[in-house]
Amino acid sequence: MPLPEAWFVVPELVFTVLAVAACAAIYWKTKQSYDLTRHRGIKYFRDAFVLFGLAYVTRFLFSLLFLSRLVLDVIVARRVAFMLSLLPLAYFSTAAALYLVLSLVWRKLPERGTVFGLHAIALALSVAAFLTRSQELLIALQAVLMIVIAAFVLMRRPRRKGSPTRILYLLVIALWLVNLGGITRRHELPWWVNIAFHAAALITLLIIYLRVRKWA
Amino acid sequence: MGVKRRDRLEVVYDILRIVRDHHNSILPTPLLRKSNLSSSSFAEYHDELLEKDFIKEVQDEKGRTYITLTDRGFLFLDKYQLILRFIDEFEL
Repeated sequence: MPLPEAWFVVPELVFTVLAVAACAAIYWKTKQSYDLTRHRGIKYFRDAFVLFGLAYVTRFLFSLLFLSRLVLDVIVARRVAFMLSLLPLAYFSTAAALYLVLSLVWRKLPERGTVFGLHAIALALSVAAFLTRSQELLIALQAVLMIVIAAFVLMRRPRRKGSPTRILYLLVIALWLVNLGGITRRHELPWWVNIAFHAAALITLLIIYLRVRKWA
Repeated sequence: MGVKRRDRLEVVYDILRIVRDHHNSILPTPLLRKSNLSSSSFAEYHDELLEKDFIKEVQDEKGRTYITLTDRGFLFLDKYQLILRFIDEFEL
């Protein structure tokens, strides 16, 4: 009955705690700006990081279930637990990526249908991953979504020249995908590659936080 | 060349700034005139600012109603430029 391998779980736990802390810090740092203005762009921006925080928590739970061969087989079928963790993982992460994009383009879109459509896409993707029991499919679908987002975001004329915001957003989403893939492909990659991707994701979140702290 | 329409935040800032610049006490009619809004728009903003606790109404001994800023209104004015920079920086 092997437990999750400690060498893998410890860095995963540290990574999750730091990523969630960074997302929470971005959320709290922008609280006053939102309270004062009720600005829709700020709302979507904050919601994106709440969802990314939740996605990182469910990613950690998912990685534990993926790695463990333990008591869960006795208490509840491991496969069921695995599928149940895949559903929120897919939902939170897809919605987070879409909210980040929405914070850039909300002025061009109607308020009601857009948010509903966003959640419908996230739900459809998570149900697809859930029904096929495949995190590989989830990564593939999110990668396609990422390409669409990248094309959409990079083709739009920036409101502010020289701002690295869009690159940072694309990095957040791309590194999310890479780190999600890292759970299932961990034996195929040298340990330091996973650590490097974790570090890159944390540095990107930290840069966003520092830029938020400067103004918000 | 068309005149750029002020966005909602800018209008709120302008109204609050006018109140502050009048020693934090102004009658509604001159405020309406100086804010460059239609009567109906002004009424909407006025109600919104009261509801959000940015302004309050006080009456003098003659029963005239003056508009003054609350602490939250002053806070908005203090933070406005920073918030604008934040919105601009992240293209929100």
